[in-house]
Amino acid sequence: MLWLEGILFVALLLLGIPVGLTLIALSAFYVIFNPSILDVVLAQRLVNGTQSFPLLAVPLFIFVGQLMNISGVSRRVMDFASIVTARVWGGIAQTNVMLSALLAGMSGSANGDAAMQAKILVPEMTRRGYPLDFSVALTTVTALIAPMIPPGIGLILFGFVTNTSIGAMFAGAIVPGVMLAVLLSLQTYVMCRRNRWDPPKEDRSPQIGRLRTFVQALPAMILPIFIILGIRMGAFTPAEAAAVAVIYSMGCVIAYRETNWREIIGAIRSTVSATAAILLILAASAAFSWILTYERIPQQVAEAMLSWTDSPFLMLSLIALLVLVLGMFIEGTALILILAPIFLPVASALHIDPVHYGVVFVLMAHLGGITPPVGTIMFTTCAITGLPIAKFAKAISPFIASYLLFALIIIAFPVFCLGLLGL
Amino acid sequence: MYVLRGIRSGLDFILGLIGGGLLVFTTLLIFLAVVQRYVFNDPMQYSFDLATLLFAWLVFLGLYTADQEGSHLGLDVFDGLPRSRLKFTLTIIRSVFEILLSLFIAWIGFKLVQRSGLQIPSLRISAHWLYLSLPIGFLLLALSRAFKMTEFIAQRRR
Repeated sequence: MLWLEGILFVALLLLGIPVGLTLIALSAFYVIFNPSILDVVLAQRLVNGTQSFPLLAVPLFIFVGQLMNISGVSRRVMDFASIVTARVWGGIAQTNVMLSALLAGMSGSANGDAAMQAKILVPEMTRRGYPLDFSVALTTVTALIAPMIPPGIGLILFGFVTNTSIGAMFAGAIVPGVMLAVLLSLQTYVMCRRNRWDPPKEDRSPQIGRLRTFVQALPAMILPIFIILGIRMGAFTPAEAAAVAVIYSMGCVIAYRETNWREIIGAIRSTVSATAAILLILAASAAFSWILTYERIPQQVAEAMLSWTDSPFLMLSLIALLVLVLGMFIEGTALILILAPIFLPVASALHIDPVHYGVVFVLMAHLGGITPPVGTIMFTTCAITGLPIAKFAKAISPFIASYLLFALIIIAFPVFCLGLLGL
Repeated sequence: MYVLRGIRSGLDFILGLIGGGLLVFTTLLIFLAVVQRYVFNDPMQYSFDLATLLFAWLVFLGLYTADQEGSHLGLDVFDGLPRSRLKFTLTIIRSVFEILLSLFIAWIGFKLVQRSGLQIPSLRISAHWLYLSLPIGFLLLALSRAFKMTEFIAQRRR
């Protein structure tokens, strides 16, 4: 029965059936051919998959991202980032990295952010003499910073499916998120200096102008800090923090007066659409994981994997490798929802902290978005800039190598994820 | 075809309006619950249950909007293929499968609505109001897939 389900899974995905519907089809198939299970249980599981208050943080944080994007604060953050990075090698490339980190707190979707930067920054980088493939590769890889900085949707979803505190996930991911930004910034510096791209410039803007730019960019930059503090100090639940953040973003929209009703309605519609797409997978995976549990699959996977090694480092590396390979074909959000609970018993058996496991999982799950053959962020940036995939694949390789090295560091040293948890 | 397009855009507008309304209302509800708790020291007991009930409607009614906007996540292996009989056949098989699956879920969803006799305690309303979101959402999804398939066939004929 299960091998049939496996074949069906691959066939339906290849046929182009959305991941959520594919999982529902597998559950329906199982229920239909198992007369001992009532079919209404499947319906009940699907509805119950949405019935969690913390999950409301998902649409609300997506809404925050959408509102902040149209508020005009992105341009102000970009002005601030370009002033800060003007006096180093590869100024505009550094702006690209810094912008991704600073806008992470208001990131609606990695794809949307990458599209925005590909439209604005890549033409400017080309004008300043950077090769197109480098500019596109850098813009694509920096999109991976946002999911690691609160309120990354992947972190919320991981917390939900593995019953891990979402506040702890946020606190555990922020240091690795900032480290990733610093690493990419260093790599960019070395590449720009070696190739003599975009030498440092004298910043002649007056002190007061720089201060004003900083103040204007501040609303976006303090948002992640406000969210983490609010949740960790027990003032809000994640969903409440998200609702307060929506009102805060609406305040930015009103204060900057750079948008119109049409854009606001568009932001609401995009939020509804993205929420339904993500939650369909979540509801479907809730129903499907019930079947997996019924068949004792997580226990069997755990037994098989534990017979291979009992070293936490090797096990987490193995999980990261599996997630990397599967992530090349399946979207990161879907991977988190389907696989994170399956590997959880393995991590627990080896006393790997769930936050450490979660940060590594989320870090690796999003990498598939920038790798061939089906990386969605890769397709977005290549389509906007007109860069052939083959050239992109070559240019992105050094960044992927650094990313993998970074993942190994995070796996080997849990303190980077767990250091803030005790505070 | 014009009638069909009219129905489709009308439905798109109405469901967009309902989905948007649900999102805005849920946001305000949760925000007000925070204000009530900290400013008026009077927690809104029903806000959790009401927010999660509305959330189910937001998700399942949103399936239509997400489908119309092409937001559902999946592999699009053969979408990039040049126009051919194979591509046409595969697209039709995919659409028919999705319609049948959505109708099946709507059917078992209606069965669940009929069977559930529980009440949501804090709201004092029947759980029917929660479970009804599933069959209605999937019926609309089936309709959305049917609209798209009809349009695809019409385009092919042209």
